[in-house]
This record gives sequence, structure tokens and C-alpha cells, in this order.
Amino acid sequence: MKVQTILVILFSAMLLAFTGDGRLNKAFSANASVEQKQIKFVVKTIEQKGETEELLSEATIAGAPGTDFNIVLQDKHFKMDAKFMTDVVGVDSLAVHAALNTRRLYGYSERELPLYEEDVQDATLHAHLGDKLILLPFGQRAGDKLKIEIIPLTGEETAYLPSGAMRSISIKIQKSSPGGIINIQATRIPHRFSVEISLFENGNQIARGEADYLLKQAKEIILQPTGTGDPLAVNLTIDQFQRYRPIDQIDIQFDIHRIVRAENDKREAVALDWAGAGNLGSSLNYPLNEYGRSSGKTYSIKFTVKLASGESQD
Amino acid sequence: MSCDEVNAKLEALFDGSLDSKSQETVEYHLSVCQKCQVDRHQMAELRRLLRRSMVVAPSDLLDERTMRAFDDRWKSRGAAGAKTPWWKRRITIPVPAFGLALALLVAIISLVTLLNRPGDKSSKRMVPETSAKNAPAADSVRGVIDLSRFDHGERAIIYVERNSNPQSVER
Repeated sequence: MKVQTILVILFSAMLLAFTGDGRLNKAFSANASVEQKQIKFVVKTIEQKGETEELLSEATIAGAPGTDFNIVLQDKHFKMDAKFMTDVVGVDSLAVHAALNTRRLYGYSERELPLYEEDVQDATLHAHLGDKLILLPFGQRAGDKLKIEIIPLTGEETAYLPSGAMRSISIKIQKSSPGGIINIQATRIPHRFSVEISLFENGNQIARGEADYLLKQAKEIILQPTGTGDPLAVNLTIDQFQRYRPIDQIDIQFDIHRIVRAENDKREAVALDWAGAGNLGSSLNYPLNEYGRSSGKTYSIKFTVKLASGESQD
Repeated sequence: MSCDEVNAKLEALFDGSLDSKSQETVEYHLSVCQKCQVDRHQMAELRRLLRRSMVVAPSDLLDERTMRAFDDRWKSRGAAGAKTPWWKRRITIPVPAFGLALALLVAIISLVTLLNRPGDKSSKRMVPETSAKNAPAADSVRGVIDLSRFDHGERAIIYVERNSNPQSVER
């Protein structure tokens, strides 16, 4: 009787998951399509004159999930370098980290040298497939506007070839921009990393933490030392991944604060704006002289950054 | 005052270049010292003899000889100058005129340099480029987009426009 009940419950659950309109079914099917199919980004440059719109250029970038791309808009006086780092984070949703660097000619100095006005912006956007990322390089002021629409969609091709190799990225230009003012580049590098952080006292490990990180995404890990020591809050960002042979390299930035339990969790800086670079998979060690000065003990912290499971190095 | 000191001042006494106090002192010494009186007498005699001696006048031919030598020198220089190439000849310009010409040249060069300083031009060009960007949009004719007509100096903006009809997502 008991076995029969379990079987009925299991059957009901499977029925809901695979045949109903429940989230599991939707997630499973959509996730499968996202994982298996390429992601494509339709990039349109549009000139808006009042109510009318004129398509100036159109291109489609297609690649495996996690494909990044740059859009460069440039003429004699103005340059915008927009870098987009994309990640599939849900069923049909993407996290897009956009870094916008603009540089416009302002005038000339007394020495006849060009003066530029530069601007750097970072934004992380969450979009679903079919949404539009609207980029206005010159802002939203009334009058003629230049608009760049980026529409993420599921691609037609599979992300991986039957051999298991990743299908290469493609950029198709449906309509080229007049005068070549827009340039598009695409690449794919690993975005997900697994980070292990260890705290050592006189050479002995006394705390350890682990977390998955996205490239350029800050995340905090709390290290609780064994014994009565105050915990450490490590705020880490994997700033850059660089293709390098024989081993790829990563750049990290981090802050470390001691959380003083006796003073209502007040945070004391142990390391601010520290940074380092090293081989992927190797250890990055830093002595923490400030942390153990009063105790007479030596402390150090070790970071080990690896690719997250499921992330390919290709 | 000793005899030696008086003796040293005798010349000045005769010339009248002693101050009144020194003169008084020397005169007093001379009135009481016979030796110095003798010395003064001898010096006075010597000066008198010198004044009376004949003054040597230059020969009458001196002027003639000097002028002849001067003429010969000029003639020889003229002959040498005729043989010297023009680029090796010295130009004789009076010093004040040469100085004035040099000063004028320096002043003109300085003036020209100051007028052509980049700063003077650029002060007009320091106007932001963005303020002069209302040129007619002739770019479409040439097939090149002039981005400056969109540029009003504002920051770039990025945002997400949600798909109002998710079912219509292109696959």
C-alpha cells in the first residue's frame, strides 16, 4: 500500500512536469532550447526623425550562449565603444553587462591639440528574449535621434556541432551602415568561475569559502575562522579574463573587512582596492599583516579561481 | 711730520694739490727744518729749469709724410679690394646704423611670431565642437552619416524595452 502511494505521487509529479503548463515543463523545454541553440542578437541602427524611423544598418550576431560583442560607432568627432557581456541566467532571460565608453571632440587646446570629452558608464541589464536593448549614443534629447536596437533571440543553429565542438560565432550584415560608421565584433570567453578563498593563520588554514562568480560581478564571501576570531568579509570581482597560452589568465580585485563582533559587527578595513593577476587555476596569495598585528600571528589569504562547471574554455 | 713725509709731499705742494691742513703742516715743517728747505729750493730750481727748456715741435714734413702714408694705405687696400670676391669683402656700416637695423629686424621677427601664436587662433577655436553642429544633413546624399547632427553633448543612455507581445518572439 505504501509503495503504491509513492508511485502515484511520483507519476503525478512527472505528469505535471512534462505535460502540464507548469513552470518546470516550461523551464525544461526553454532551457534545453537555450542551451542547445545559439543566441542571436539583431543589431539595428535607426535614425528617428520625429515620428518616422529610417533603418540605417542591420546585422545579426549568432553564437553560443555567453557570446559577447562590441559595437563601435565612430566618425571624425565622436566615438562610442559599447561592450556587451551576455549571460543566459534563466529560462529565457539574459544578464547583459554593458560598458559604454564615449569620446567626443570638444575643441582644441592652445597648442592646437585636440581636447576630448570622455564618459564611461557601466550597467547591468536583465532582458528576456524578444526584449529590446535600446542604446541612445547621444542621449534622448528631442530632435533627430540615433538609436541602436539590440534584440536577443534564440538562434536557428545549434550552439554545438555534432562533434561536440562549439559552433563558431557568425556576424551577418543585412544592411551595411553608410560610410561604415558602425563596427561590430563578437567573441566568446568564459564568464562563469568557481572561486575558493582560504584564510591561513601561521600557515594553517582556519577559514574557507567558495562561490561561483560571473565575470565583472562583485560578490561577497564571509570567512569565519575557527575559534573565536572575527570573521572576514571578502568582496571579490573577477575583473578580466585573458586568453593566454599555455594557460589563460584572470585579473581579480578585492576588498577585505574584518567584522568586529564585539562592536556590533562594525567593519574594519583590512585590505582596500587590492588586485592581482595570475594563471587560471593557480593560487594567488596575499599576506594580511594588518589583520594579525595585535595577536603576533601571521595571516594570509589565498584565492583559487577556476572555470565553473559547465563552462568551456573554448 | 717727518722730513721724509714732507719730502714726499713737496711735489704736491708745488702743484697746489694739497689740502689746507696738509699744506699748513708742510709749511710749518719747512719753516723750522733747514734740510727740507734745501730740498724745496732744489725742487723749485728743477721745475724752473724744466719750464724754461725748449719745447720740441714736430717737423714741418710730418703732416706731409703722414698724409702720404695714409694715401698709400688706402690705395693699397683699394687695389686688394678689387681683387677680393664680393662675398669676402667687408661691408662697412656705421655702428649706430647697424645697431638700429638689427633692432628693427628683431622687433619685426618678434611681432610676426607673436601674431602667429597658436593660442591666438585657438582662443577662437576653443568653442566646443558641439555648438557648431547644426550643419545641413547632406550626408544622405553622399551616403555618409554625419553623426554630429545627433550630438547635443548628452550622455549615452541604455535601457530595456520590454516586448509587449512575448508570444511573437522571433525564433
